[in-house]
Amino acid sequence: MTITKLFINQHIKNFPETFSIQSRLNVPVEVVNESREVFDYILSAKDPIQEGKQTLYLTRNNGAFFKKCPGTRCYTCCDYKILHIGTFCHMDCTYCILQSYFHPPVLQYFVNHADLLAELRDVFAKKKIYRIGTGEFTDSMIWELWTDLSKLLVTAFSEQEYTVLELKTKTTAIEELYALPHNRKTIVAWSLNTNQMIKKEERHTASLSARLKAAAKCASWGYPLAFHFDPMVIYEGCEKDYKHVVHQLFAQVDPDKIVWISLGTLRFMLSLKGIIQKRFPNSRIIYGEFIAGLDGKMRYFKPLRIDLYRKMVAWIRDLAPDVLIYFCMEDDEIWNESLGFIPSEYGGLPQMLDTRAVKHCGLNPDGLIRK
Amino acid sequence: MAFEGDSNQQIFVGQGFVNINVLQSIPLSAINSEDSRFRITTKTEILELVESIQQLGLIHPPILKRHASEYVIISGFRRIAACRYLGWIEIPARILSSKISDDTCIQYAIADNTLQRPLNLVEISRSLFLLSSFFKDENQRLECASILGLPDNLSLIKKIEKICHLPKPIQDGILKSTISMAMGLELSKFEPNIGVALVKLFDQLKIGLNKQREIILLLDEIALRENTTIDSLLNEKDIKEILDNDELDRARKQKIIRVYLHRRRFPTLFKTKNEFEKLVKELKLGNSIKLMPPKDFEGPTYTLKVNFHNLAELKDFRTKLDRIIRSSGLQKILTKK
Ligand code: SF4
Repeated sequence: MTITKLFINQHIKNFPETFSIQSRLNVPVEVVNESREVFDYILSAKDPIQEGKQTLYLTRNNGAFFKKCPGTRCYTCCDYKILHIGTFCHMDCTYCILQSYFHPPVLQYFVNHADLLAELRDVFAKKKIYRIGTGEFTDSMIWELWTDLSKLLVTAFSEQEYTVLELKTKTTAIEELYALPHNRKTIVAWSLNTNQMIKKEERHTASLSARLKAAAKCASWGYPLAFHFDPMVIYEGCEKDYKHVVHQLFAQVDPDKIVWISLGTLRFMLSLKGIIQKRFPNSRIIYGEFIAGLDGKMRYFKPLRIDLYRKMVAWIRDLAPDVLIYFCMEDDEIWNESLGFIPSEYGGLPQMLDTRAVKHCGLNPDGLIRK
Repeated sequence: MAFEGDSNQQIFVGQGFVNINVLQSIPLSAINSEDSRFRITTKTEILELVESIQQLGLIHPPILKRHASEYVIISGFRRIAACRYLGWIEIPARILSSKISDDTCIQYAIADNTLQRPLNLVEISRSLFLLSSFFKDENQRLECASILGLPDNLSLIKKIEKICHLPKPIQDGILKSTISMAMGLELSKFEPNIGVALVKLFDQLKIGLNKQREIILLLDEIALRENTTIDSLLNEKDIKEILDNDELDRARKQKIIRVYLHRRRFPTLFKTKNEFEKLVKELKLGNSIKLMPPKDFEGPTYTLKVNFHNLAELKDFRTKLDRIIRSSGLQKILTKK
């Protein structure tokens, strides 16, 4: 999807980042005094979500850049931290939670990078192990088209030894990463899914083979990698397809380069169901055997989740016995039934991931003690 | 003046009062009963009216409008049909001039109907729809609707207006209170034959609104999951057998259909629930103890409920609980193995 309109907040119109982005986009520009004007523009469209994907709003982040991931107490959370660089995404996945998360959803990019870097310096100064990602409220790499974000972040993270950055994406926009001095403090991660799901439910994203090719390239440039099978969708023939994805992954990528692999089946807030029905009437993914989870999100009936997880774990372990596999937002029963242990046996999921990051990304182990 | 001849009776039609008290005798053969442009009534049955006209005569003459060599009916469709049935050759009627515009005629039609009886929902819908085709200005339309005794709330009007476009069996379902107006509108999102089939089902089983919604949701999602249509689902052997089973009363059929649809929509959940119930039965807990699984088997918490009246029963429970704890059945339930 291409950007058709650029809004610039009056307060940041003279920022160098603003000029730089503006020069790379050949679209009508409008300077606004407040965000409300942009929101009204989006909301007046026939399909505000679609409009939000085509409208870029450059502004400043007046809140915190460094945030906690909004996990819930009912399921095991990985204690991930978010670097809030912007919101929304120009790709169009049926199940994307961001469609119902922002009111209205707008492709928003924060250009007050001096504030961002200052906050990061404070985080680094704590000398504790943190895993920070930019792919929670947006796709980490879509911004590569118009910004120098990866250069800014990868460089900043490379200059310290306690915190690791995870860039999570469904794109192949990795060219800029090639020449950066990453010092293994940036993990490049891809969400993986079956060809059928990518084609039907992940519009405008890169194909599976393209994602894997990009991953292999990043590995060859020395970047640690991660993969997220999330959301896995249960459909007729899905097992054969997911097994094939696992095989494709390890045919392209050396398991030693992988820091972690996460598994998660499709889950969604009920408010998203209506949006999916309206925007993607041909999609069938919401008609699985979903029940309301303890956090209120719809998730597959537990035995179905366990069944698919068990198989995935077996296929992955078969080809990559030493890779750390974890579940995103699942409970002890799922862990035990699918992996044969629960996180608390290893000090908890955050500890497991931190230790892995220390080992694979060359973080300072002292950071583990300070936590 | 809009009416031909002298007149004393007045009817209010938005712009003001127009005299309509002139009666003319019109040959029934000159009246075009096929033209239902101005028809408001949903009733077609005339026998009661025939009887009344036979006994008391035609108290309230129809309103007609001259159109070329014939007359178009503005109001009085059933009265004219009843007089034809009685073999009348002519009928007394009030005649509007051919110069009168259609929007004024519509107002006459609505006013004449509302003056005689309260309109039902479909008639109100038709009236509002007829008005909307002439009043492009929303405020004027609301004002006119209000004067004619119709709803004047825009959001309500927008909903009601749609009803007259629904298939006839759905409209009838609303009039018979088999379905609510809201349900009628919900059904409009389906193909007409599906909406009609659902109303038929609801009528047959006398299902209340909440359960109607539940059944529609289940059918819709099953159809989407299985790549079929609600129509074909309703015509499947399993469902037909339940509906056609004369040994089952309505309430029972309703229950069996709902269970069947739930099982089909959530097969694994259903199977797990059945297995759980089977295992609980094997524990022989009796009537005073109830073991309940976590909701949808998602959380970790099981619930054990005990009813007791006195200490002796509670002591008895303690013994039972001991036995249950030691049983392999409980192990099976908790470990799901
Ligand atoms: S790539 Fe991620 S952020 Fe973008 S639409 Fe898909 S799920 Fe949403």
